[in-house]
Amino acid sequence: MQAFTSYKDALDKIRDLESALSCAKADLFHAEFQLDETLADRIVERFKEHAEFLPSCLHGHYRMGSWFISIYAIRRSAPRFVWEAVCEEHLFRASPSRGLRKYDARTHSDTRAIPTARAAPKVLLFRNADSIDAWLDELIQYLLDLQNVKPED
Amino acid sequence: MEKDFNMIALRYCDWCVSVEKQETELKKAKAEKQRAGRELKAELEKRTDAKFSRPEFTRIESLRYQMGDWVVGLFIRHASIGWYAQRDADADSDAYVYVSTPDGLFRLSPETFSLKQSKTSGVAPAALSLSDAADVDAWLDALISHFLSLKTYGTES
Repeated sequence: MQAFTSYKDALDKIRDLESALSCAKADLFHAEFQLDETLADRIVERFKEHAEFLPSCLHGHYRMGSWFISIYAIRRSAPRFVWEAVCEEHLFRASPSRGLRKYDARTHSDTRAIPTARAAPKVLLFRNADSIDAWLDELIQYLLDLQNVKPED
Repeated sequence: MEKDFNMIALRYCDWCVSVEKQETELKKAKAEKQRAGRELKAELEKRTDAKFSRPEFTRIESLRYQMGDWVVGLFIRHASIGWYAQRDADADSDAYVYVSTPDGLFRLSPETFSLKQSKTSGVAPAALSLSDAADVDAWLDALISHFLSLKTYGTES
């Protein structure tokens, strides 16, 4: 009766694993929510240290001269913090994946890349949360450098 | 604040690892179920073919047999082996469509397409739980007796 019992054992195992997975996912969701909040608090604290950034009424959004900066969490697939900086006046946009670029106001699409002294910081994965301070240092420095970008660049 | 943050970050990473580990285990268990399912079907097919090798039954395909106007079949669902028997009637015949399952014998009303329970002389065998798989041969014997008793149904209008 090996075939009967091995099938039943596999079914039982799947049922147990599905139940355990469901509990673990619920716990993960809860931990993710808490982490999201504490990371967001830390971002706010660090940005406060620099007078160049004026907080917007929208949480996680800042103004730096003619630049608008957004930092926000994406929680689907790999939960992460992403950022974007846009200067609508001179049509610049900076992002983790594409760096600094000129963009077309009509189509809202990026055009040519503009070289910068520092590489654009990547996104911060929640699972690398312990490196948030280093990430914020890098991000803040990169954003401050954007003030030196000339309109004719 | 510092301590809280580190604790939350650590707990989050632990849960991530736990979810990933369980998802991997689940994937492995599902592959194991598929393999065991193929083995189970082959074993059931072997035993059923042996039991149904009687003149009343003709094998149509895997776990499906013809008995006069009736088609009978077995299937594996979740943790049990189910069965059904159905007597189809020709569109121009006066005979009714009958369906037999562990829940009893039913007659299909051609006007409303609803099922009406019919009286039977015996009790239809229940589906076989895989926990009782050791009794599969006895269960197949009971099933064959039940199928043979169905031969009298469906010819009256």
